[in-house]
Amino acid sequence: MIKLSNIDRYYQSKFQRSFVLKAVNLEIQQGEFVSIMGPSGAGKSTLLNIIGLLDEPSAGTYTFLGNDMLSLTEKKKIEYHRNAIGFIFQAFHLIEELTVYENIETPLVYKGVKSKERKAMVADLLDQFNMVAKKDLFPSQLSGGQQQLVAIARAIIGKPMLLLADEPTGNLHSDQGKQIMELLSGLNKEGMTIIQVTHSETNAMYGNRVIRLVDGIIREENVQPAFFIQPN
Amino acid sequence: MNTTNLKTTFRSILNQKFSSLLSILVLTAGMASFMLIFFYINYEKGFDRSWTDADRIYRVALSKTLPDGKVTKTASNYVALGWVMPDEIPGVECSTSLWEDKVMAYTTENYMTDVRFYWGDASFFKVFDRPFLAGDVQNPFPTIQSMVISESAARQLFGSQNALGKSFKINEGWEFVVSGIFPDFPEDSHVKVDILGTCNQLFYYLGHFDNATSSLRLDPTVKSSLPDASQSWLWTGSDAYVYTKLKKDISLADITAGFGTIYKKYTGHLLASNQKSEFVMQPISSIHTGPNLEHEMSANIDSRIISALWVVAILALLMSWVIFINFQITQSVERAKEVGLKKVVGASSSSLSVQIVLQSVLMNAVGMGLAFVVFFVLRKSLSSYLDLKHLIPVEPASLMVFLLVFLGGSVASGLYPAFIIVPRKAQLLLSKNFVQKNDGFSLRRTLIVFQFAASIGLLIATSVIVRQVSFMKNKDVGLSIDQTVYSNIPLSNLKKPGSAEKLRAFMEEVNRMPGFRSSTLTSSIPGKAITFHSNQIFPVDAPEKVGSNYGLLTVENHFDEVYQPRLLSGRLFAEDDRAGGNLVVLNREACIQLGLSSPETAIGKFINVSVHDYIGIDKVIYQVCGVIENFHQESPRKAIEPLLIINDLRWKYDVGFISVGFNQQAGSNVLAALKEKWERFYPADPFSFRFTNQTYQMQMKADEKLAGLFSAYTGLSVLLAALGLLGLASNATRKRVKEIGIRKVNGARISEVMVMLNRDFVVWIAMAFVIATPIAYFAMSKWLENYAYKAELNWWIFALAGLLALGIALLTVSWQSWKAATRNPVEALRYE
Ligand SMILES: Nc1ncnc2c1ncn2[C@@H]1O[C@H](COP(=O)(O)OP(=O)(O)O)[C@@H](O)[C@H]1O
Ligand SMILES: [Mg+2]
Repeated sequence: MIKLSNIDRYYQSKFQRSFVLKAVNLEIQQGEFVSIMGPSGAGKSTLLNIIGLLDEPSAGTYTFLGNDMLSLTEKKKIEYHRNAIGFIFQAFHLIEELTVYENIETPLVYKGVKSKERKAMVADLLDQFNMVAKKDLFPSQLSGGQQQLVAIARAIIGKPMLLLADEPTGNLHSDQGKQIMELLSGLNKEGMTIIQVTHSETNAMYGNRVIRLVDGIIREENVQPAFFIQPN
Repeated sequence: MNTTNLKTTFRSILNQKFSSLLSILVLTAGMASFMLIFFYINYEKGFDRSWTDADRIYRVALSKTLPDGKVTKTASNYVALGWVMPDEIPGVECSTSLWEDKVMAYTTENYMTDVRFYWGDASFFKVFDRPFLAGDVQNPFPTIQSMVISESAARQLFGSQNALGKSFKINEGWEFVVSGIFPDFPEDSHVKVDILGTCNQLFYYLGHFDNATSSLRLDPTVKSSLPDASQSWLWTGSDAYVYTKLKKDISLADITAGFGTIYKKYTGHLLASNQKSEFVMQPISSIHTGPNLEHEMSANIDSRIISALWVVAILALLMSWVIFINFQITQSVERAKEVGLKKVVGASSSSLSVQIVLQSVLMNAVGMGLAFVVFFVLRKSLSSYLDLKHLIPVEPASLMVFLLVFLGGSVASGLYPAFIIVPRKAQLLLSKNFVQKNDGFSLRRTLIVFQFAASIGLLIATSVIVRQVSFMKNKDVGLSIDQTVYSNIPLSNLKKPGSAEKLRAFMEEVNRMPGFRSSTLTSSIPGKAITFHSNQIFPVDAPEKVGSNYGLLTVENHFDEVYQPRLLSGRLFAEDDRAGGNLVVLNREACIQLGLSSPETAIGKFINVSVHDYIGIDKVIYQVCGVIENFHQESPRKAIEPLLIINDLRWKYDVGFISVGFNQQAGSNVLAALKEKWERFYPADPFSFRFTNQTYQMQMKADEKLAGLFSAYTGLSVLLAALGLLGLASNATRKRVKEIGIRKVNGARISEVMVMLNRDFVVWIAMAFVIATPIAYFAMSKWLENYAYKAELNWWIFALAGLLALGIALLTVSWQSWKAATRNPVEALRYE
């Protein structure tokens, strides 16, 4: 589904280029659950952002379902954000002024889904996440784990095929983290392709493959056969 | 405070060159415009306050109820009222009547037209304290030939010579001697006099001046020529201005009670014909900013306009400070860090506050300095724009007050940022979004809404004023005044034998020049007030119709050829209608007022006319020969008055006009051609032909000036509002950077983000619009009440003002929104 070849990402300062990513080659099949690991500043977020169309590589090619992703118009990119790609972040990034319900609903509003349908879809998810009682609360009234649940709900409500998670459990206690990871694992089992950045070996184990990134270079890829899932 | 403090202050001002410069310029604009308006308002409100005992001086206006219930309020009153008041009312110290006259004054070398000339009395100088430059103010009129003149009239008539004892003539040759010279009336006096004579003198000259020989018969046995004050004709026409000074500690109720006696004693004949007069005491200092009554001596300024100017001025000043504070707060991003670090190393709160306030005071001081410069430069332009003879006065005391206000403001505008920064913990100050949470957003939003409300109100007011002016300028006059010129008739041979024949010969020669259509003589021309008035006019068979005021226009029989009035019925005067004959032409309004059912039925009706005046017409019966459509004698500001047009060469005040109609053929040298002819016929008289339409349009000048002033301040107000909004928008979007990032990641388009960001501002503008429109609607419909003919208040004026404000606001805001919406969300969402 995703094919990155020879991806470079550098920042140009006056006299030199500082590389964040260097000659990255990566292929990810539909239905995979990939964990990206590596020290801080290694370029993990940058890689995720490039895959998620929030950043552009300085060199290399990137295809998504066979389509070239580097020559997309702004309009097309938004189409992908609306229909194909969901994001979750370490800092949750909920909109403080909106309730849980409204936060989850946001992508549907931008997709132009009718209000009645939106209601049904949000209600379904809330039910699934056991958060029906919390739907009228504001993010600040929730615990970190609950906030991340809301963020996940928001990321998947548009039924994206790809979910990108940048350190989703980085701000959570371990048991809260476990809950989130189980949820992601479940989503993956239902067929969603997931790429997560994580610092925790335990959490990485939820995936079928681990990619280790150091100074912008992929050092190691280990596949965990036990968890490998054939693309369907 | 130490030198390091001062140094860092300067450095931080210089570091932010652009925003420092901008905030100083904003301060300059706000302060300068505030001072300009303040002193202008001060000038207008200060009218007639500087007279000695100003609080005891009153004008007595007249409110008259006619038999049909109509009430007219005139600034002028019955001439004899001023003569009898001190005798009839014990509380009155002295009073004076000023009877206006249309006069041209001349000596052998010089002349003066449009003289502010009055027949008054010696008490005038008791009411209005005006120490003489020459002559005796206690006895200003020692002989029957004495007149007193102003300093500038003396200069105009006699040049640099000493005018005292010199003689001059007016109109048909009445000769007078200068017995006193008074300093020019101050500009802030609604009463202005160039030459003052006495009523006694007027009646003496009427009886003793021989026009044929141009000489005055001196009769030392005559003590007074004043008619007896109880004569009813002196209490019929109201065309004299009456001023009075009360004794100390007299209540107005006493005076009003005294008026009762006067009504009973003198105005009985009016009551008999069902007319009620009421005298109204107006404190002299209230006149200029009060309502314009009929026949004002000089135009008053509308108090609503003053209020509007106040609002604008205060908002300009407040807004400039708000914008300044905004800049200061925005700069505090760096400042907060600096303060935080200093706190960490142990700086005291007070020294930190001092530094912040110091920066504000320094910048305000620069702004203030510039503002004073700008003010003194613009004061000149504004004064000359407003046609003031002198500069708008500036009292040092007020300047000191300004200095204090500005200083206070500058300290306050520094204290606010200091207050939100200094008391906080260093840790908090070093955090990134500290300033965003403490930027006084809601206060500023309220002020912006008000600023926009004021801007929208001003936009509406300005467009209403501009529309009204252009409406008046373009309104059909009803006469064809384009391609006509006019002049005063030559005065040098007035009332001399053969003068009429000479005038006719001149006019005939003019008519023969190529391109000149026709010439005529009239008692007034479009753009100048009708000089004859009478309220003793009624159909012979309906004497109960007496009391309404009519204008009388005397014309010669080529009037219709020059001015081409629209005939509704009958005919105008013809070649063989004898001047001084008994035919009259009415305008439509007169036809209605006289109760004649239609222009057709009016023909042949008889009208009783008498004019109670010192050169009155004693009861003449005229027969209607024609009715013409109404035309605007004066500006469309005034209602068209009922008008009787008679074929006569008698002109009140002996000031008549020659009008000449021309066409394309006359080319561009109309005036030059006329001048040549004129100088051959009347070498002694100044050539003073002018284009009638230009004189007519001059009437709209005051309104045009007002429109200009309002346009300028509307522009400034909108600019300040936009600047304020710009600062607010940049804060508002900065606060939402993260949210914008999240929304974009969730599939929001740039356009959707823009809509989201701009929506709030649209709501504010809508609020401003809701606040502004009813007030503007109310104020402007009140203002339009001053105009008899008005451009109606259209809904689209309001819509347009609202849309314009919205457009400006959106443009301003969109710049910020665009920047925020097009940012890469990664930057906003990066975790730190
Ligand atoms: N706008 C930028 N300019 C320069 N360097 C940047 C910019 N954004 C990120 N970087 C650098 O790129 C590197 C990788 O960042 P990131 O992908 O966020 O790392 P990780 O997520 O692995 O911790 C970091 O060293 C960071 O300093
Ligand atoms: Mg990262």
